Amino acid sequence: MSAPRPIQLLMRTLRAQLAYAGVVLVAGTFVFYYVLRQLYYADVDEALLLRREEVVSKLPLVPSPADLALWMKLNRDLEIQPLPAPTAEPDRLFGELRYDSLAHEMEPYRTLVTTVRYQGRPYRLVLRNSLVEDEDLLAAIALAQAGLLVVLLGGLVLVQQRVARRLWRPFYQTLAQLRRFRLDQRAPVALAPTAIREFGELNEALTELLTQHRRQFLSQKEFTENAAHEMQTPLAVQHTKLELLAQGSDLTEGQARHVEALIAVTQRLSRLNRSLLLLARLENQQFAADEPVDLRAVVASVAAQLQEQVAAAGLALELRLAAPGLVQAHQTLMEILVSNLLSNAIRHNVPGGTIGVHLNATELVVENTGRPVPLPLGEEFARFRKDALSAPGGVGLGLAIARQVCDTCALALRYNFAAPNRHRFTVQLS
Amino acid sequence: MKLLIVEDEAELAASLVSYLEGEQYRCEVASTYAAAEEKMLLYDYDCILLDLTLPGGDGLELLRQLQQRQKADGVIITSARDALDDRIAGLHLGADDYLPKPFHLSELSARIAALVRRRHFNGSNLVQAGPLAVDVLLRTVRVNGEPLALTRSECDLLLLLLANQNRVVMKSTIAEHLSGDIAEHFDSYEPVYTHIKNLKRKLAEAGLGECILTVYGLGYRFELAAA
Repeated sequence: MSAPRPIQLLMRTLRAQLAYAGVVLVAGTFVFYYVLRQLYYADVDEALLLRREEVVSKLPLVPSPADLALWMKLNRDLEIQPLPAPTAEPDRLFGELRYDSLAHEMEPYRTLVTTVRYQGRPYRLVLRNSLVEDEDLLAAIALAQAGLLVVLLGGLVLVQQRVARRLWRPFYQTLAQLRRFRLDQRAPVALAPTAIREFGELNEALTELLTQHRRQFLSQKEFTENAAHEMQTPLAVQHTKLELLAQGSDLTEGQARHVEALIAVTQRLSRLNRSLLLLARLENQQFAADEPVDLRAVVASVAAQLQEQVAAAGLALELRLAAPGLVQAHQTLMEILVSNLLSNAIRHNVPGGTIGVHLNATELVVENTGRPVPLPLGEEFARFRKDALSAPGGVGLGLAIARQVCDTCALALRYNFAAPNRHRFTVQLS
Repeated sequence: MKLLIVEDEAELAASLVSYLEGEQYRCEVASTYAAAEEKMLLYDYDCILLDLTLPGGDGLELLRQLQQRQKADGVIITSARDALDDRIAGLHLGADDYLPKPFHLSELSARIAALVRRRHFNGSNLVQAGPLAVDVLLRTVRVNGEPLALTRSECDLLLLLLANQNRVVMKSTIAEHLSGDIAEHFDSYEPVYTHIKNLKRKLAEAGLGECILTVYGLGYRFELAAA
């Protein structure tokens, strides 16, 4: 199951804002329309009641019931009918749809039904007020209102987004800097100052954390370098003493074996120590990669030096040096790089295997036959990597050094595996 | 031949003296910057072995002084400071060679021999041992005047053995000597065995007899039978 795709913070707030704005817009338009209508009806009803007062006050002026009919004819919205029963009806106000003889369609009306007395008899008075014009007006008002709401909310969202983007900019800057941060980078981390307190505090805390880690890392590196350095002299004493011991004329074969083993171990130690020292120095950026190096010459010379080891291991070495391979690097470091890659190809090969070294204008490839499984992904250049298939004898730092040399000289080093057993290291030159 | 060993580690200095006196060098030891400075300026040496980290100062400074006074002493830097820049700085300041610690005594001895030869015998750089004569520059070998065809590696090997006559030269020393400055090392001594075997055969064929003796598993000793 995959994790839900993360969404941008600004997107999330934008979504919430848009959803809210939509709800307010739709619901608001309806509510507004109904409220407006209610207000308007109340107004119309009041007008109807006023007109009743007017009718009641004018009724005594009508001389006869026949004149009532005339009045009704002149006024479409007025109806006065005698009530069959002498009992008075309660007043009623309601909306209704009536056929409009002018517009020829059903139209909404507000209607007041009440009882008036005319010449001592009860009459039913019906007063109507057409709503047709006013409904349209209402709809227009509601629409205009909705439009206003759209503009208002949309504008708010936009403004909010812009402000939010500006507010969050320091955060994204910090994030980008953290992404670029490497523990072994040369310069200490410097997070940009910000006017927002929270981000300021975040940057402060991060700077402190990173500085502390860097300091620890640097002191660890320094320790490695110092420790390796301090070990060289005792190792030299040990080695020379063993050599002197070996000169003894009364050395028995058994003693000679012990001395031999001790010398082998001492040499192993000093090799390991030298590699550690070199690694520490590479990491401490003690080399400037600023001289032009002719890789073809380097490869040719290293290959010549290793020719005997290649032959002793029963391997076939194929050199294809098609270009001078000029790089801006460090002569000795390039020699170390090529030597380590080639030595690795010899050491981790199979009997009767092959080594191919190809140099062209863009890359240097060292390819060898070897064990039938690829190096573990992500650990190709790890230090002291050991597993069941590792060849014995190596100190386990060769590839780590190769990687570090490439880092120092700003070259890319890649590892590929091709079935069934071809291991390929590629140094990208440009 | 007079050597000055500038080395602050007493035991290491003792080892150097012990080995090199066996090679007929007269050795003096200076263990501080001041002592080294005094000896260097007062006396002339055929070769100075110079450690760079000294109590009281930097060995490179001594080198600078030597250069300023135009002293002709040969200098081999023996330092635990393997930084490539030091090596280059040292060679720039007139050092003749640079041997990082820890080193092999027989390798050091060969380097001293080469240095002394270079400085004393301009032009004809000949190493002689009994009927053997090796021209180092031309890499040609003659036995009793007769040329002996050796490969480049065999010639290098012979020179290493000749610089350490009657001494055991470790096979690991030979391996490193032959493979040059390669950082990586191989546990296989096959090339060493092959070269020794071939060299032995060629020397025997030239009438020198068994002059390379195998010392258990340790290494080899070059001994010319007393004529």
